[in-house]
Amino acid sequence: MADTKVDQMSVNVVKEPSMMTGAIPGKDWMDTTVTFKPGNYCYPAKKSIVEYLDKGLPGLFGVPREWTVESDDWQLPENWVEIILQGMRERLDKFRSFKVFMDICVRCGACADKCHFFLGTGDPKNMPVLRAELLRSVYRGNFTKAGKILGSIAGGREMTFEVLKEWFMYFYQCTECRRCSVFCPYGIDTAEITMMARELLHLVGVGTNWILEPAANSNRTGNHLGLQPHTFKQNAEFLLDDIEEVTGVMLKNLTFNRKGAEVLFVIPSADVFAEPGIFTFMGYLLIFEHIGLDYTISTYSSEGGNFGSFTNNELMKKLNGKMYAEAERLGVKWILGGECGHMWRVVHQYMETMNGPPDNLEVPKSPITGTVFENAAAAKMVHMSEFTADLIKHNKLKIDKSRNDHRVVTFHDSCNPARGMGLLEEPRYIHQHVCNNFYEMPENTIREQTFCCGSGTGLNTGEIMDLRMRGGLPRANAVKYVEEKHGVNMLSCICAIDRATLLALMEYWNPNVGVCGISELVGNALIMDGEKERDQDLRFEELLGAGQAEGETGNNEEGE
Amino acid sequence: MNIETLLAPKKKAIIKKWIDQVLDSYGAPDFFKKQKDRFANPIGGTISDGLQELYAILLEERELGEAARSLEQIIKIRAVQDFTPSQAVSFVYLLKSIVRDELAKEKNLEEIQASLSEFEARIDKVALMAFDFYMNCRERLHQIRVNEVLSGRHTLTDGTKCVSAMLKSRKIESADKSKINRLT
Repeated sequence: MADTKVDQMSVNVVKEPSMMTGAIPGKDWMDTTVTFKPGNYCYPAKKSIVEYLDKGLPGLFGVPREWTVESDDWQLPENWVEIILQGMRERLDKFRSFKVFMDICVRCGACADKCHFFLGTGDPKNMPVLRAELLRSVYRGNFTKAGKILGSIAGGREMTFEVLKEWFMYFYQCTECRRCSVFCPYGIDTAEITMMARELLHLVGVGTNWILEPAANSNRTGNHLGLQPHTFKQNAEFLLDDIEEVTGVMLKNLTFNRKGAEVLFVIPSADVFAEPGIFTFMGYLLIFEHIGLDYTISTYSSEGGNFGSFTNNELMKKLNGKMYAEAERLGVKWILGGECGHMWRVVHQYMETMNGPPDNLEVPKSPITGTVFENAAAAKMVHMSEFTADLIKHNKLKIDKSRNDHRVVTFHDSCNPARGMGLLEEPRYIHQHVCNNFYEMPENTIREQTFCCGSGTGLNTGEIMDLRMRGGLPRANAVKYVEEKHGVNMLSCICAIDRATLLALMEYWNPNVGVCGISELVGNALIMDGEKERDQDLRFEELLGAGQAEGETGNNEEGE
Repeated sequence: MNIETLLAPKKKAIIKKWIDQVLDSYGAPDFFKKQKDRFANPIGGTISDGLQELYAILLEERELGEAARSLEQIIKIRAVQDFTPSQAVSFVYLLKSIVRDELAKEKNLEEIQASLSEFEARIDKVALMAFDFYMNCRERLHQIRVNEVLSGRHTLTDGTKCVSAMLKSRKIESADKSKINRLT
């Protein structure tokens, strides 16, 4: 935001680059420096948090200290350049993909206009190719012969404080959503370039509190907020009362830390304490009760979300390992995962080489339908949408989809489940069976080409609300289209960060559109044994034609 | 003769110039100018659709209230981008100089002086509307930040909140659920 001091404002209007003065900067990207100001950066990590993380994983989070982003002195260690270059060297040796991604980009530009941050800001450094170039130029300048000799002529440059600032600015304007990777003819995973850059930044103690504190909490107590077991349990059970009020049924199957359960259910913890995730949680519980699933929730691994994956691979591994350690301790057969985002990217793409294979678990088999989830043979973990779609396919759910008639729904393919694990059809299949009004957004904004919410990878913090609105513009723009064309009033998704951040995004861009998880819609539609006449949904909102629609049930009877 | 008649043959050129100059305020404007798919290019699409609509309303002496929608769509975008408030709304004034440039070579400028002044006064009114929309957007943004804190969504990652206090307040709030639901 602009400075509100009058003298400064007058200077801004007359001298700053603007359309009125015609002074648009025309420098080469390498010569354009970044300026941090309130609203365009995340707050740095607290000293105490870094101290805590440093105890478990020494050296990976830099020297604990207080520092300010807008200052020109970040209190970096004297040898910080050396630390970065050594860190880069080690990672080039350890991760072949990193080395390949540094070398093979031909700068064709296919990715350039695919990033939501570029589309929302018009800043060339938000073109994925150029963002990667911020790191690649240092790689060239220090690790390739041509770059060492020819410097900037060969696209190489030295690691300087200005470059470090650029990294902090732009690798925190990437949500690792991987939309750009879909268009890369070489299959470069640009998200992994951001991951490497963030690892290097953390090595010299440049990290954000919004990421490191939840990661520390998850490590200590099992979830982002640091909820202790009794509180987590209390919160979850609190929602049982709400379910009873709406349905007239008190659920009996919810248990915690129960050894010998067949299935361990892992959720994003926001689902037990933040709206609208709590309604999704109610949906999960209703489904499990409906089918009599033998499941338990662990209060020690009460978080599927892995904020470690936004810092470095070691912390990612550690947090991911907790789920599997709990599964082993409780003696479950397999893990069922809730509607979470990056949990699935970690499970699907990194778990096996980090913590796997989890030999103590079995290949997941639905006890209700007998379906064996061969696709989950390695991870031993099934996604809630896969599980629910399979139940519907086998007619195991009694559904009255007219109970969602007050919702006109569109589906946001959450980036990680969509692009990270290819979960494209199951969510749509569920929608078709639990609601009558479902409309897709335009083709180039869904499925593999889905646009990010703009706040993933730990960017869902309030201090960068402007930035989040810019990053989410392409998604909101597509929602606006279906809102105007079809009267869409609900945006469903399968990611907890989406559920939290799309809400803010919609409040700004499309205030008439709400946000929900798919399981909430399923929960609304489920006909529970012994239920009372349902006239409210899980949000205590009136159903359409409540009291008049008796007998209009069983809309899923078309058979499969 | 009035300004509408005089500018009719120049309509395309004026609008193009206006759109181009506004898009030039972005760091990499070429893409925003070329890509015609409005879903692949929300900024370019919104600005070019919006400015065309605004131009028609301004010139055809339609009710200025009709400008609200297009104006709001553009301001909404610029209000959250890296612009000062003056930069965010200045695009409205650009039309004045573009039109003046186009008219510079006209011989019978005297004849349309009155309608030109009126046209420029209309632009000024739209610019004032733009200020209102801008403030509206900023206020909404701050309200969203407040809502995010109040709704407990920030607790997704903020460890500073007292959980038992949160539970207590939840119990009180549950008595008035419909109010909360309206907020979300």
